[in-house]
Amino acid sequence: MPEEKPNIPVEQKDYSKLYLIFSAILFLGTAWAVWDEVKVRRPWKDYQEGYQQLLVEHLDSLRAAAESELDSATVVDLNAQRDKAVADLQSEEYQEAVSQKNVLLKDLDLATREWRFARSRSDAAYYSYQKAMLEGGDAASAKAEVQKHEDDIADYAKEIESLNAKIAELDVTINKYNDQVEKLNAEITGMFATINAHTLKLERTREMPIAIRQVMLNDYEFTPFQEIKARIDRCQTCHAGWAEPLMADAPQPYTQHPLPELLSKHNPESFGCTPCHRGQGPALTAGFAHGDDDHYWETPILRGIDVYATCNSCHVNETVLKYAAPFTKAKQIILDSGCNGCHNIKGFEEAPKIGPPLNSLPKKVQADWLFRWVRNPKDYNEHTRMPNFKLSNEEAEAITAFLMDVGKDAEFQFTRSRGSYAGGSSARGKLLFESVGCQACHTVGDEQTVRTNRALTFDIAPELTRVGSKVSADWMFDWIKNPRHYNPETRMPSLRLTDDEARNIVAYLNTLKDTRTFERTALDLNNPDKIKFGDKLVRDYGCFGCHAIKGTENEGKVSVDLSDFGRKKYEQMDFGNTHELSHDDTTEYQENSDGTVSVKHSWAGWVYGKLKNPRLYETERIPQRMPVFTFNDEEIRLIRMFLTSMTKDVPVANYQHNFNKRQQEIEAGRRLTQYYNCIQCHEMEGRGGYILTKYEEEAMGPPKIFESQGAKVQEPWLHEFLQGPTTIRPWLDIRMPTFNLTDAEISTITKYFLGTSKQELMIRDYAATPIDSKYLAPGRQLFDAYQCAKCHPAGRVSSDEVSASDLAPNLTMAASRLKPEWILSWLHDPQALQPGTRMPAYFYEGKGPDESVFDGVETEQIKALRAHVWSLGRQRSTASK
Amino acid sequence: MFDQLKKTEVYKSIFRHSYQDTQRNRALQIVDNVFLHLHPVRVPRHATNLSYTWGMGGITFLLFLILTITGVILMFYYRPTAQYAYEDMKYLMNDVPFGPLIRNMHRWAAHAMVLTVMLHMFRVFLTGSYKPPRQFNWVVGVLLLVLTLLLSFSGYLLPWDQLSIWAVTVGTNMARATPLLGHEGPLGPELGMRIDNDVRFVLLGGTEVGPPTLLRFYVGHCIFLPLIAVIFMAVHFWRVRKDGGISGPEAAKKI
Amino acid sequence: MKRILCSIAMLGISFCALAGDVTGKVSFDGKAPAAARLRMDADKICARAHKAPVMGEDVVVNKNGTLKNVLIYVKDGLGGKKFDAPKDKVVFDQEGCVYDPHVLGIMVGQTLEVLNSDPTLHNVHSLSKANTQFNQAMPMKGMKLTKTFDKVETFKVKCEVHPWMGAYIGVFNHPYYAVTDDNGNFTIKGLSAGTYTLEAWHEKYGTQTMKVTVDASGKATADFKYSGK
Repeated sequence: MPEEKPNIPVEQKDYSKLYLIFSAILFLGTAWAVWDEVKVRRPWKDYQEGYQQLLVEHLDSLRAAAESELDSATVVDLNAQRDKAVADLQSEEYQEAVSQKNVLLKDLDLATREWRFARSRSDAAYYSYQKAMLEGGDAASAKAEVQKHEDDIADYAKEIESLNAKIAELDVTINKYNDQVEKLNAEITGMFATINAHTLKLERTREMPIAIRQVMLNDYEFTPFQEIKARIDRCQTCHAGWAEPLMADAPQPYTQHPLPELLSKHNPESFGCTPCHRGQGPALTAGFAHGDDDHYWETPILRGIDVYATCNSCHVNETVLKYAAPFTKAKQIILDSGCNGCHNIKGFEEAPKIGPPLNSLPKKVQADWLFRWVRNPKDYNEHTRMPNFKLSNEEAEAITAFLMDVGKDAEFQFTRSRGSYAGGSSARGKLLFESVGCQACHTVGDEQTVRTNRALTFDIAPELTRVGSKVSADWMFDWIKNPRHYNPETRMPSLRLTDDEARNIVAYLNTLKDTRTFERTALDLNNPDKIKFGDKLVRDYGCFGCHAIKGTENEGKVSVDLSDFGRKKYEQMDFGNTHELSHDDTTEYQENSDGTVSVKHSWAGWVYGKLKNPRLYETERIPQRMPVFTFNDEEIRLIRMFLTSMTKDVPVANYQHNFNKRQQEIEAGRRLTQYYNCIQCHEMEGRGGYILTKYEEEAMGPPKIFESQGAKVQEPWLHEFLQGPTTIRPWLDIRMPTFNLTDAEISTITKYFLGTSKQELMIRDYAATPIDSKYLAPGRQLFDAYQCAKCHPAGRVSSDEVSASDLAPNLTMAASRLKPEWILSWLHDPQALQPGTRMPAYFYEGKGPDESVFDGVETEQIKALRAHVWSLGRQRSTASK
Repeated sequence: MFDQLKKTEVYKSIFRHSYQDTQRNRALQIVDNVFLHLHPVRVPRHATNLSYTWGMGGITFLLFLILTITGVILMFYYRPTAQYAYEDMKYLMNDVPFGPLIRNMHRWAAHAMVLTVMLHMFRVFLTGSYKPPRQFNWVVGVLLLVLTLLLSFSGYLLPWDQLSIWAVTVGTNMARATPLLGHEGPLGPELGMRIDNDVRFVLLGGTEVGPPTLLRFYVGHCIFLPLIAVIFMAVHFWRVRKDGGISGPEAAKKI
Repeated sequence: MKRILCSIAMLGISFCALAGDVTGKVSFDGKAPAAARLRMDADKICARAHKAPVMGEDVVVNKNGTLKNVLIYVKDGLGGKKFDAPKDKVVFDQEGCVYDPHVLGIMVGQTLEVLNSDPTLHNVHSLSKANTQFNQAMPMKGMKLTKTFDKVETFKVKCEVHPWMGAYIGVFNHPYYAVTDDNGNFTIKGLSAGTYTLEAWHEKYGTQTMKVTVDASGKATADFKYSGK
């Protein structure tokens, strides 16, 4: 039994122990709060110290390396020389000169003083003289007095002069000694220059204060209440090494920011970091700054390729960015896939329809082919851009009936008689098809080079593996001879095929048949109810988003506006019947074994699922109209990155890219060249040229349109060439097609070339370019000495010079084709302007091989050659000699 | 040496008279002090028994003081306009030294105060300390409870983030259903209540939560409600004294 | 005296023995493909330079059934040792519109002297990817050009004016390489004892590797065989 505790009266109870414990807890709590605030919540201090340490290590090792490379023998020698020079200052000659100079300086002082006094005296005397003149005193003697003083002044001046001369003489000796010392000092310092630089940097790094570093962007953006506000970025507080080249291989957060050329245009000191990377700028811990710990922060940091999304905040109208290849590719996909046909998308409001018009289909295809195509386009052509609408047979039949009805009154008629295609050789046709340029856009069978290089899952022009079963040979012949006959707005150009060439190609294409068998479906095409149903379906599904269809010209966009889609909250998204993947899971999309699909319930997860299978979130009650595309994982991620960029939160106008008139004109040209698929053959602005890998030698394929084409060709010539291409490089099999461009389109393309070559966007007159006659004769001499004619024909080509014309363009074109200043740069270094060109460089280290002309001086010889080449064209045009 | 100090004029002007430890002086120390005179000079024995009340009321008052002090410190950094409110909160969290500490203390104290107020209320009920003559004090206490909740509610708006705005929207939407005074309440429309002149409008300073609401709630939270709370607290403490001091068990009272 | 002479001789021999030679030959199996005649009609100067028809040099099978113009070099086994480029130049000539030699090896940093011995325009276009590509014209007879290379690579050199001309240059960062001669033989001198991987390269028939061990006596042989099938 426990002892009874003695009953202490309540007022005598001692709570001091309790108070002590509680005070201790309070004290410890306070101490913890202070420590937490100063240490735990300021991890950036540790990061800065870590950075400092790392940099000091690097600099130390660099300095040690520089020290070890120092030639100490030379240093010792130089030091000895310098010491000797300093000792020489004690020599008799020098000391004697210095003391003499000092004496002379004293004399100079005295003489100067006397000279000044004499001048004062002269002034005084002159006053007396004037006074005498005025008052009628003794002017003559006063004047004599003045003169006396003037004489004194002259004497003293002479003395000063002679003294100065003597001092100058002495200075020669004195300076000789002093200069020697200085020179040696400078040399010694020079030897230590690198070491000193490293030491200085080391000291500065050691003294670097541990402080918050921030960039303030005043008046950057608007709050939701239309108030302008600043943005503050403190990222460099932890990412201290972002600008330090020595940190290129350091671990995060010390790593140097990649792409310094890009940074020089977007200097973080005036751009901040969050405008490109998002995240929470003012935060000072990684979790809050990146948004991982702050779950309410609506713009967490962008990771992986998503970082290119923010380019669109300022560059919304541009489709090619030099340093953002994923951005460029994403926009290429959007343009090529025609997303703007159904969705309004910021920056793509004016983008053209990507599909052909459907107003004369009965003349082109059979109804049952059309039926199978509408039901599932990917069945005919796996890589077609047209997505699968997953239509039922009834729906497909109705649409077929409708389209056949729309096209029944089409005006198109074959101009040639039926059967005019007949008689071609399919073997020759195949050779033509593979060499003349068709393969740049159209794939057949196993030839996958262009498709592989393009690296996209969809083709820009139909694959022709089964074309023989789709269209009639008559139609094929009419089409390839002149595509604009059937479709006046087609992008397919004319290859200027002769009738024989066309027949051969038709014969070849006709052999490419669809070898599968299909069950026959009876199509009731004349049923007015079915036609009406087809019309309704076409309007519901929005076929007119890609295809021009008579009667639907005024229809609007059939689906939602995506211009602010990036800000949509995932809580507002419908996930249909999909299962949920947890947030910690690394996958975003998973196809389960029981046929269901699991998707991460976040914006990114929803979008991935939607792009992978647009019908994924369909439920019994809520159908989805978006058709099914077959993008691969990379394309989905790129499109998703693009959608991330779709937000109304953009910086104010002064922070945005200046999309001025010039930029607009260049961008128009860019879009036009993508529209006409110029980039399939020609590499432009770092993309395209997919066909080039088929050629072993660069010179055998289509030339790259470098950022120098605008600087190279004359604008009037380019205009004529694009209207009707002529042969420039006779050895090429591949042909530049005729695109039937309007004048406005040619002007757009010309401005594009000029713009990307940093030229003025204007057309110059070259006919009046003068030729300096002093260069003509030497130019001709050099032309012969350098044997240019071995490769370049310089006049009419006769038949026995066949091999020469195989090698280089005819130079009579030069005067009307090339810009005169370009010819100079070309002759100076052809490989710099067109890497891989066959044209060799003649000039080495500023001199040409033939020293008899202008003493071999490169600049003069180049001018002479240009003058001669220019005159060739003139001779031809004036038809003289 | 200390005695010498006591003889100086400076000392004598601060400490007007010496203290002699007599019963009278002990009583005077309490009664003559502006802060302490609300306390009783003497307490009954049972008052020292912590386990009867656990000092919940006192803790609530302590938390109120903490809230006031931290609140005043917060006021140095906060501007109650739509343009700055959120930014200033972020500034406080990121830039101000010990800013997070002050803000978190304020937040925790607020939650704790609501909790202790509830506990105090339960204790008062369970110990029957609402019985005569203490009925009026209970009423005052309920009013203080309402004020505490209103202070929490108004303070919640001040960070001006999504959580704040929507919470206040939901809360003030209830006001429109007030009878007679709300434009969707019984007899409200008959009295001419519309969306732009009913009690909800008065609360919000507009027809929806916006910058006027923020300012209004800020003034309410910092001045208006604390003033009323202080007045009622004064009455509450005074009534405790007048009604016989701190409650204790019946048996103990006899000692 | 004789003793001293003998011992000196012995020392000399033993020094030689420290550096070993790898010799060998590259034989060719099968029927040699018919050599194509080079048509030089496009340039009269070239055509006139030859009395007899000139054959293409892409596959040259010697009379003793061996393969000429195979570049043999040490691929592995030198253990990261650094070698300085020798000061002497390697001469690369264009004579009679044909490159001479057809295949050559050169070291990184060593000077290549390109010579034009023809009174016609040649240009030297290196189709190199690792080294900077160059394309230089040589219009006068007797012109010289010097070039150096800084990366290890084997690449083709061609002339644009005379498309039949072609030669190959192998750039190495060590001096252990050789080209098979008219008898299909090669010798790589100066290797110290050890095991090395030797690689043979032919412009048409590709590469082959072989391990070879240079023993203390300093001799080793390596024979390669290419098949024409």
